[in-house]
Amino acid sequence: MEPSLSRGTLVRFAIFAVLVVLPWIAHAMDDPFWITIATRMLIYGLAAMSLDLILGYGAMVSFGHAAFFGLGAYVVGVLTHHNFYDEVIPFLPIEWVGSMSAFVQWPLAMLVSGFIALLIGVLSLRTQGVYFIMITLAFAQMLYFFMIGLPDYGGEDGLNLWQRSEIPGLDLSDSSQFYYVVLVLVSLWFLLSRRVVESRFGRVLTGCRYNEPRMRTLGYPVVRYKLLAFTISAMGTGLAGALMANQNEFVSPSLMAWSTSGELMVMVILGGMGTLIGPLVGAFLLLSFEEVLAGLTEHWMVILGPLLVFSVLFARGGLYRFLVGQRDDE
Amino acid sequence: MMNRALFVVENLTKNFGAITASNGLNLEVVEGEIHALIGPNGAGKSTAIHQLSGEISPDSGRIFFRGEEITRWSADQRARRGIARTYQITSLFPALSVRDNLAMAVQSRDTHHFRFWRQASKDPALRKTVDQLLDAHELMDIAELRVANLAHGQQRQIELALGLALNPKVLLLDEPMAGMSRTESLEMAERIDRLRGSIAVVLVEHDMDVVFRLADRISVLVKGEVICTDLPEAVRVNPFVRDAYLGESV
Repeated sequence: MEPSLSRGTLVRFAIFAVLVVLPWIAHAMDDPFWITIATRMLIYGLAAMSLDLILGYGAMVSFGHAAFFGLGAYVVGVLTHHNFYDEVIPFLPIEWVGSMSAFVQWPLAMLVSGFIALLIGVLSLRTQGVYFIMITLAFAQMLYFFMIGLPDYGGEDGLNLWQRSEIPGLDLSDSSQFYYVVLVLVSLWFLLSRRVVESRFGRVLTGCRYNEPRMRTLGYPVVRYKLLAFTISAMGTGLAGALMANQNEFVSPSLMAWSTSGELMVMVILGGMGTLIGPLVGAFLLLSFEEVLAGLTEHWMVILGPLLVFSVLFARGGLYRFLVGQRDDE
Repeated sequence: MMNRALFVVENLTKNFGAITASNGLNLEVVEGEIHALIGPNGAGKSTAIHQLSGEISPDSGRIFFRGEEITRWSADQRARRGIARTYQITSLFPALSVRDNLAMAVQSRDTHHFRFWRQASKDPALRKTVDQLLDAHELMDIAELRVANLAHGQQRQIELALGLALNPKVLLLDEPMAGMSRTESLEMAERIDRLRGSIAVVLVEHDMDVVFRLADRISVLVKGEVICTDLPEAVRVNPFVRDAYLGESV
C-alpha cells in the first residue's frame, strides 16, 4: 500500500536522523552519559534485529540467542586478553597472541558465532515449536555454564578488557566515535537484512512461516534454508556481542544468561516482529523503561511487567507497526 | 499415450498403531493417464497419496518413480523430481497474494542455490512465468488479492494451480472437488480433463460421477489393499468391487 509505505520511509528516516544527531544533543545538554546509554541500546537493537530475522520472518523462536551474543563478546575478550598479556592462545593449533584490530576481532566474532550456530542449528532445527525453544535454551545454558567453568577467562567473575578494539584513524575509547561506528554497523546490518528478507531466500523463509509442510511438497529443502537463516542471525548477534564487549570493556557469562535471550525476544515482540527496524525501537523502549523505572524504585520489574502486557495488548504487532500504521499480518 | 510405467508401488505397508492403513499395496501408474484411487472411507487412499508424495514413509515395501527407487526420498526431493500434489484441506499461503502464492512454486523450479541479494518481487523472469500461469488458470483478475479473502472455490483452483506451477510429471490430487458447488466441480473436472496425456494424474475423489468420467483407469482400495485395477467400465461391473464398495451407490 502506497501511503503506509511512504509513512514507513518517513518513520525510518526520522529514527535515523535522531540517531545521527543524538551525540550533539547530548553534548549540547552537557550530558554525554546519554551517548553511552544510546550505544548500549543500539547494540541490543542490532542483536534484536538479528533475532527478528529468524523469529519474525522464519517463525523460529530461538530462546538461546544470548549464547551468540556472549560468544561474540568472548571472542573479543579472549583476543584482547591474550594480546594484552602477550600470551599465546592455548587452545589454538597455531601460535597466536590475539589481536586488537577491530577488523580481526569483529569478523572473527561473527564467524565463531555463525559456526557454533551451524552446529546448534543442525541439531535443533529438526524440532519445532516448544521443542525448538527448549533445545536452543538448553544449548545456550550449556555454553553459559561452560564459560562459568573457565577460570582462565575469569569464570563467573568475567574478564576485564582494559582497552577497546582498534581501528586505524579512530579512537574507539571516545564515546562519540564508538557510537558512530556502532551506528554505521547497525545501519549496514539493517540494509543487508532487508535485502535478505526481500530476496528469494527471504521469500522461502516467509513461506516456511506460513506453511512449512507445503513448502516441502513444493520442493524446498526447508531445513537447509532455516539453518542458513539461523546462522546469519547468529552472526549478527555475535557482532552485537563483540560491540558489547567493547562498550563494557568487560565480558562475563551473564551476557549468555537465559534472561538476556528473553530480553532480546521482548525487544523483538515489543517493537514488532518481522519489521527489522521494530526490534531496534523495541530495544530503545525496553532499555529506557529499565533505565527510568530503576531510578524510581528497586522493584522496577513490578512496573515493567504490566507495562509490557499493556503494550502487547494495545500495540499488537509491535510499536513500529503502530507508528507506520500497518496491520500485523502484513 | 506411451505405456510406460511412471510409478510402480510394490507391497507397501503402513501401520498406525493397531490400524493398518496400507496392507501390501500394489499400484502402477503409467505416463499421461488419469488414474483414480477409489475405496470406502478408511481404505487408506490419503495414506497412499502421502506415501507417494513422501510425507509419510512406509513400514515396508518399495516405490519406484521412472525406474528409480524413491522409497526413502524426502518429500522435497520428490517434488523437485516431478511429483507434485494438492491437499484435501486447502494448503496455501493465506496471507500472501495469489501472485505470491504462485511465485513460491515457480521459484522452487529453479535450482536451490541460495539467492540473498536480488529483490524477488522485481525479478523479471519470475514475474513473467507467474503472469503466464495466472493467465493459463484465469486468475489474472484476482492476482493481487490475498488468498485468505477468496472464496473456497477460488482457493481450490489456486491449490491446483500451485501443484501445476511446479511443472510436474505426475500430480497427486487428494479430493480436488472437496467442498465445491456442482458448477465449480464441473469446472474443476474440465481442468483435470485437460491434463490428460500431458502429465499423469493420481486422483482420489468421492464423487463417483466425476471419477468414472475422468479416469482412464481405476484402482479400488479396500482395507489398504488394491483389490482391482481396470478400465472404468470393467470396474463398474466387477462383482468383487460391487460387493466391497459400490454395492450401495451404483
